[in-house]
Amino acid sequence: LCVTADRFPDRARREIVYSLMSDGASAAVVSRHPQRQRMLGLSQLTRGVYWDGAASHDQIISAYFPLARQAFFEALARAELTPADLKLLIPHNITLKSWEILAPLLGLPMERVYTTNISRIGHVVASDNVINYLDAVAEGLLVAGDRVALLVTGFGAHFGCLVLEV
Amino acid sequence: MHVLVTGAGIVGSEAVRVLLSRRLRVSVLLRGSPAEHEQKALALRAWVGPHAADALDCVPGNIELAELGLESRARAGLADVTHVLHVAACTSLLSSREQAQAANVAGTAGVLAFARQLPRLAHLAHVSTAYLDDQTSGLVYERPLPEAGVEFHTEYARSKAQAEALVLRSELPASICRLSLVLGRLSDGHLPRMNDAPYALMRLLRDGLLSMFPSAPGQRVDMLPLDFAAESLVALLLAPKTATSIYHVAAGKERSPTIAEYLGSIQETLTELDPSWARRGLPAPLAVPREVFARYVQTMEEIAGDRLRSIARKLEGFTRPIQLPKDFDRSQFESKLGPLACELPHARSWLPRVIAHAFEVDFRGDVSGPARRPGRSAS
Repeated sequence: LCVTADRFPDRARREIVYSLMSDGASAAVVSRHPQRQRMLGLSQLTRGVYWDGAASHDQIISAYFPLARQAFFEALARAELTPADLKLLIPHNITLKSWEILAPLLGLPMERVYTTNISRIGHVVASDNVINYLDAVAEGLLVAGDRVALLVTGFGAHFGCLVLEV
Repeated sequence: MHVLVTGAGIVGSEAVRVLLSRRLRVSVLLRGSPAEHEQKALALRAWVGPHAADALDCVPGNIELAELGLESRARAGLADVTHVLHVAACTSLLSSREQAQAANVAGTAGVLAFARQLPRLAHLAHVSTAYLDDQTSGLVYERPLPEAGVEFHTEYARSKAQAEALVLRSELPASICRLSLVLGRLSDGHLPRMNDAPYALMRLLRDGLLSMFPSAPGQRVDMLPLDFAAESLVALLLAPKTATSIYHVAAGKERSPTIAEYLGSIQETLTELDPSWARRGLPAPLAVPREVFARYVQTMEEIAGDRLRSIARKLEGFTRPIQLPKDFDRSQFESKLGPLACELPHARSWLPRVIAHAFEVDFRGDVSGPARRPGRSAS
């Protein structure tokens, strides 16, 4: 069972690197032989050179698009899939503008990036992907057998992408 | 033969060195206050090296002023000029309309008016730019631009096109030499100043601040080493003059790297000079369609802090001329210069040396051409 929870201090600014920050929590069960939501490919990159987020702010922003793209394509390669095989990209809820730049670099039209929750709930830090995935399923956008990529970035800097079969 | 060179910037300084090495008498216009003039003259003499001091005359003047701002004695000293190399220009891609018009259009008009008064004038070579507009993609020919319908990517390009039109209408024995992007010397990588776009990109990449770059797959960027550029300009200037001609002083398709090769060459050179730079794992910049790049620049403008906004603006300015894939035909250039035009090797053989030199001197321009500075770490 994986659980994640994030809460901002009371007086903290709720805008970080151009994103509106929310509080929230989520949980997921990871099992060796799942009946559904099978993991097809996973990629994780860490660049310790950006450990000091404040000092390397501009470098992190500059590295964001190349490294996010790298994580995405590495995960797809491990899943032996191409962007055309994906029904949706499940993003993390950082600023929408960044997805308008990144989506074409991933070979995806914006219609295939699930952005509904960016304006609705903001960036719930580590819970974005789980919440967005469940909401996309609840909205009927995904059915069993569809393939999706869940992409996430964290300060540090970490980039992760998980390809799932719904 | 007496050659007037209208400025001693990057290309002008090297052209003066080449002219002096041919034992020609050279006068160079240097603008600025007496103290600035003195400083520029010293820098130029250091750059050109040990040539006969009396063969080089540094003349206070300014192409933007009437009669080039020359004092009567200086004007009399230039009365026997036989060749004019008009190289003075405002070359910043980020220059305002006023700056570009004053230096490049009014300045060229002033040089042409002065040249008309030279009784022994044999040839005037006007240095223009190969990257004149962003409407053309594919092969660009050595022809005049259309008089209407051209949308210019910068005020710099607009002003250079207007200056070309002035030269073509001048009825002087003149040529237009459209110069490609110029980097350090083939021989040693040296360059008097390292502020221009190719060097700015090297710095951004080294510092991990170059996220993306507009480029179509396989798109080339035409670039020349300084010494080849200057040798070619001097050879064109001194060649027997026929009709008014336009030359692309460019590398051409066969000798130009792709943008990906250029950026890769910077990374490889950095890795070789400083393995610790490579261990940082900074990502390679992405070559992206220009629409995506435009959105990136716009987003940085809207939401980024001062530094990234400034970088995005500069990148946008630097890359405007090369946002559409283009190559330069150089048939007339090759036909005029013969074997010299073909001596230039492919950029992949000289770029690493030029890039390495820039990092070794940490982008401080070389005051002295021949002397090498001690090596430095890349970062």
